[in-house]
Amino acid sequence: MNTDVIIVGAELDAFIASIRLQELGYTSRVLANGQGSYLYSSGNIKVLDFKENNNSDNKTFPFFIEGLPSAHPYKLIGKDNVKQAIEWFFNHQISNKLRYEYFETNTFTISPIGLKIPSYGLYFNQINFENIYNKDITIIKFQNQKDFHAELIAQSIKQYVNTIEILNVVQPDTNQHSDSSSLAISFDNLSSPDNYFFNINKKINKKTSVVIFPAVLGLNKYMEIIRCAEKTFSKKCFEAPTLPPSIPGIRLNKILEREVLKKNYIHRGSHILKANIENNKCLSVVDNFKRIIKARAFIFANGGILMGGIKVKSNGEIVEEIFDSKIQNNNHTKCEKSYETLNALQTSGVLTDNKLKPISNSNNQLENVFFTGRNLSNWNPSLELSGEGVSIASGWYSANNISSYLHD
Amino acid sequence: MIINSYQPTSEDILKSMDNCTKCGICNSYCPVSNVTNQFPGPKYSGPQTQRFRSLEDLVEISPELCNGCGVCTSVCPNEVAITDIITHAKSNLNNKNKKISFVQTLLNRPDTIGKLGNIFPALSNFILHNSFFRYFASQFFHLDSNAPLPNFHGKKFKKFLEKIKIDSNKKNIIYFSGCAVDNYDSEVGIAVIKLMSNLGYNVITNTDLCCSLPMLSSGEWDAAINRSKKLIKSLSRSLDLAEIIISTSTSCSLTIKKKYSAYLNFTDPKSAQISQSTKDICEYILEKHTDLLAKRMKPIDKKIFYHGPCQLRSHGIGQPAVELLRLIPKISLSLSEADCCGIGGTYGYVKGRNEISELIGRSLSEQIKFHKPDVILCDSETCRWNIEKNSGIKTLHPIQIILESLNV
Amino acid sequence: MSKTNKNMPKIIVIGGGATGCGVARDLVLRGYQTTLIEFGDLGSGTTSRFHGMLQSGARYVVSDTPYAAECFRERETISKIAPEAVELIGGLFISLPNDPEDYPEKFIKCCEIAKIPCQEIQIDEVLKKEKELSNNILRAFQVPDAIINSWQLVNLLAKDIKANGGEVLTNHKVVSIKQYNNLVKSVEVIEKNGFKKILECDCIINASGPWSGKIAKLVDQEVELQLTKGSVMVFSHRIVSQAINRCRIPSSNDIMCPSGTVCLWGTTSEIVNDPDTTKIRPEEIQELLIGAEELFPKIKNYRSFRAWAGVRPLVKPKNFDKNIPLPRSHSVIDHSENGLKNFLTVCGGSLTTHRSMAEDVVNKLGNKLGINIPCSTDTIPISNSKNAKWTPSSYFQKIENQKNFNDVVCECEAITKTDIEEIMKNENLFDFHDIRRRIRVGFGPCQGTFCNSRLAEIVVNHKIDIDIKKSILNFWSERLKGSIRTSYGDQAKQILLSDYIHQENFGLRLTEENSEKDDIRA
Repeated sequence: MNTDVIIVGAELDAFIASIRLQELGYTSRVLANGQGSYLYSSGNIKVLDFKENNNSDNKTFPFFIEGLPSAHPYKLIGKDNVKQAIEWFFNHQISNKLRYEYFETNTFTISPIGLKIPSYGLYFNQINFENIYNKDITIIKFQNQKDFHAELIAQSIKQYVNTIEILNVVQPDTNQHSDSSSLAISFDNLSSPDNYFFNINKKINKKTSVVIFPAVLGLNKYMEIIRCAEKTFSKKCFEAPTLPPSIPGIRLNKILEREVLKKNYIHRGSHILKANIENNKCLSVVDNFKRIIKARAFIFANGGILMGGIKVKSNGEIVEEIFDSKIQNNNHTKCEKSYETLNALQTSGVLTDNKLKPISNSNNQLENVFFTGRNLSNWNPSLELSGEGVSIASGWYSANNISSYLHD
Repeated sequence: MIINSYQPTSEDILKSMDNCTKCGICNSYCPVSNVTNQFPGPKYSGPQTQRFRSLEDLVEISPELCNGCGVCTSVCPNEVAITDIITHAKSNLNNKNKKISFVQTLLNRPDTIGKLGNIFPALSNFILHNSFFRYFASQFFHLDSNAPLPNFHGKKFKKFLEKIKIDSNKKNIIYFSGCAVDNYDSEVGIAVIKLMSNLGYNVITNTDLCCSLPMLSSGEWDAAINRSKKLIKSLSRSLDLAEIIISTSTSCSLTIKKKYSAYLNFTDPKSAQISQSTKDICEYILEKHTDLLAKRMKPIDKKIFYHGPCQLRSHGIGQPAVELLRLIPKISLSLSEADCCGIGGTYGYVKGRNEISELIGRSLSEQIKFHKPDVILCDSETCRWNIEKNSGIKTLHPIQIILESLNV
Repeated sequence: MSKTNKNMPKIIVIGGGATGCGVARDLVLRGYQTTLIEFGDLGSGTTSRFHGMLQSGARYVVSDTPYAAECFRERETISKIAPEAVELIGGLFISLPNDPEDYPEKFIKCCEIAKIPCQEIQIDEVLKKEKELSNNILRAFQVPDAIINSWQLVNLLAKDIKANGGEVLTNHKVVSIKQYNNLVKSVEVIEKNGFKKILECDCIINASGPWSGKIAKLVDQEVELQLTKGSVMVFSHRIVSQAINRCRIPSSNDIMCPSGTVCLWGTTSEIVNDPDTTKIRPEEIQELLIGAEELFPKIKNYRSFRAWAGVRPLVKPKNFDKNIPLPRSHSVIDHSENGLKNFLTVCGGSLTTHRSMAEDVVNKLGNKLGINIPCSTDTIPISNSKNAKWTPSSYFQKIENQKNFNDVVCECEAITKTDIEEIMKNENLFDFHDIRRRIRVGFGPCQGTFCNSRLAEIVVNHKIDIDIKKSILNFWSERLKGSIRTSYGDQAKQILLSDYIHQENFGLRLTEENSEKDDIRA
């Protein structure tokens, strides 16, 4: 099959780009080396910690971009494009499947250890701070469950709520699963969730108005299950995150893959080792089976240093090995303090123009290659809390750029 | 890094344990640990324990529960060869305490059993499927009474081969039929010969060879070495006559492509050439003949459901069968979202592990019930037998439908 | 059964490293009333920051033969009295083409004099066993080096001290020492929570390693030390199965030593003034890698997940000549020569000789006090467990036997919730690091990425009074300080994953204030 675009990587930007390209009428093939970094998140969509991270007066979306440094990916992409990309995402059926709710500035969800996280979008019934202020709360913990820090969460949020109790309940399955994914699957296989919740209801304090579950209420049937719980308890129910990999991340993964697989292809376990370039154009890529895969344009959405798209050598040199792209190297090995070193490592990445195309170290501007997401430089997803925002915006934007390029 | 090399050796495989960042994504996708607490998960049995195995001999049972599906390796973002590390731990060359059970010794020799059974196929089938025999087998040598046993097909395939004439105008291609086609699934083999002849090839079939995957997966490596050497010798000779070897079993072709170097350290030029020359049949047809097929395929009036076997992921080629099927006009095709059907090669045939196989296969069974297909397609033989037994719906190899669509 | 006797003098030992613990143990076994005071946690000074060898002495056999002989005797003794902290892996001394040609002959001769068993091995045999070594090696000599788990050692010593009636005060800082009439009378200490107290004593033994000078200053005494900072890199698996040494005059970049599941390469060598210097300069990592590459050509491809530095104290003798290398053997300084009658300092030496150092200084004390009880630390075992050796896999094997995979908190080191709860029951703990040092939580390649919050959840459940959010941040930033020095290859990914989880997902913020102003101990 003649593929128009090869997308290397399994990041959120990779799938967004593929889905957008399909909308614009182009076929793509996602060469996924593993799964993406969004599985480490709690399922919320973070666009920017507006309060801390921009210097402009306007703290609402998308005006926050005005206050960012000029080489930041949001600035390269441009305020209007970022706005369109994010709105496109939230209006697309993929986010409708998880019923993402979004807010003009930020709202606050709770982290796996109970701290407030400014988030732009929350999935259906992801715990939102507004919903627990001054309420009487019950946190449910499943017997034998690992990696859900009910006590830590309780300790952190108790200053904001009226009363709080932690309830230990039996699992739906007699198998006593300990990790999040097997628990989630056991919920999917539950033949009568109403019975199960009915039995739990007896143990919940009558005063409670909000029940918090760990984020394991099913992979495929999440919304039915939580609605069933709310109906049975007659109380609001929310999910609070576990330690990663997160089930909400896996839910999003399944929805993204399903969407891509409708008309396009995903090669799982595919590792790209080199590219064939001629006259500043990339013609094909070569994988670890020596297979040559041709396409008309390429997107590298393989996650930067964190996910292996960019490598760090033992002498501190940072390299992008496929095209030998110019790198913004902030010299993390020369920094004195550990937090400075970390920031330098995070903000290093591939240098691109404002179409997200890289320049190689031999000064050749490749015309049909684009870098997205954590491959990009001059942004720190941890300090800014902008991981998903940059992924979505850069994925969508690079798809648009390819469409213009291929159209001409 | 390490498994990015074209022919990783066992040293490379074991060293890849260092790449692990403990992210846990492998555990989230492992079909076995998601249904049972008895298996601690790929992260634990693979890179985590390997750090201790390299120090001293450990007494372990946990690795035995791994079914070798390879899903963990395909989702690992850090190129840890997880499945291979666990299989190394199972091997009798690395683990002096390893004992191969009687039933496993039988299951490891499907070609020998095939040959014996096919002396009097009708009688053998009668015995094999007799409920008294199944009970006896279950009690005395732990062959699970639920396991999907195929039918002996006698010499049907070999007799068909005898009738073929060589056409010197046609291009040669080698077909590694494998023990399943030789003894139990002759229809698939016959379909291959018809299809490839139609596409303009002389098919040179090497029968009576075993890729030794059951031995490799279960740890009987000393016996595997001899068998594999025999296969390499035979296919090597055939490579004088043709360039490509095709296979209709994604498990067998994966073994030839990667596992001889990864497990048995076959790094000699002959073995390397065979690894590079072996392709899955759909992979090959997709590469070379899509235009031809697109012109000649006729509609099929059947509701088709395709399940990509778990081992197919490790090929890193996506799902070539799906791409071919989508060339059939007006095809009604739905795709399985299950990662594994549960049988795991010979894994699910052993008493005690069959329950795990069934739990794993539940998701696939539900999807089949939902889609209600007329025919199910799958590229691997034990998966086909398993799916057909559980669903009651005819399960074929994709090329059988492709052949049908060509009206040959 | 307590051995200490109310009629015996009260001795205060300052310094809770191997030396201090060894001194305190020797004292209690001889019946002295003993209190050990340590600023941080046991072993958090130099004791835990070396390359892990319980050496045969062969390293110093040419430059300081008597010291080498002492090392060998002590290595034999310690492997008998503390088998569960020791692994007898053996060692090789390797000559490379650019090493001095005459050294090996001197080496063989001096080993004979020091009675250290030494045997030349054929190169192809060596290369068959140690596949990572360079093909360029010229000669190889087998010696009986061993490795020691220093954390385990000090914990065993402390247990023995307490079991025999001694007192061990960790997280206590010495503020001042009162003296009267040329005699020290009492020590004022302050605990981490700000609580002060005064401890009376008949004698003080100063065993505070590189801080010996600072402590001596509190009583207007001098201990002239040469402080040398050395950095070590940790590689995430055993690259070699025995200790590998360069066969030359001891210098930097000499030793690759397995330690549990990892391998330590070191050290660099830099003279410093401040005993609290534990920062590693980035150039040191490059120095270490270049040095290691000479022996192990593929070393730059392997994962190094941490680096640390420790300060070695060597005593400057009275007629100190800059051109002669300082002697490695220890010194016992009786400060009565300088007017203070009941203050002794023991310094120098190495972890291998900590027991004989202790014996020496306690003998001297006995002579001064006219108490002639003989030393028994060389014969009475410290550990009373049935383990034959240090088995890093024992934790793992326990889990496999019990099948309690669910219980695992620290995956890298196979530590379970039950193990941690045991520790919390029996000891006085201040923060996560105290748990870490005793049971290796967070020691492995992931450097606390996941076990950090799991540990926090257990601690919160046990209602121990600590600021949880601060503890999580503190644990993470401390682990980060060591692992970020080797942030290349897979470790760069690990660090960014750890950052993702702690900052991006958990919502903690790493700033100058909360990451740098911190406990600088191990």
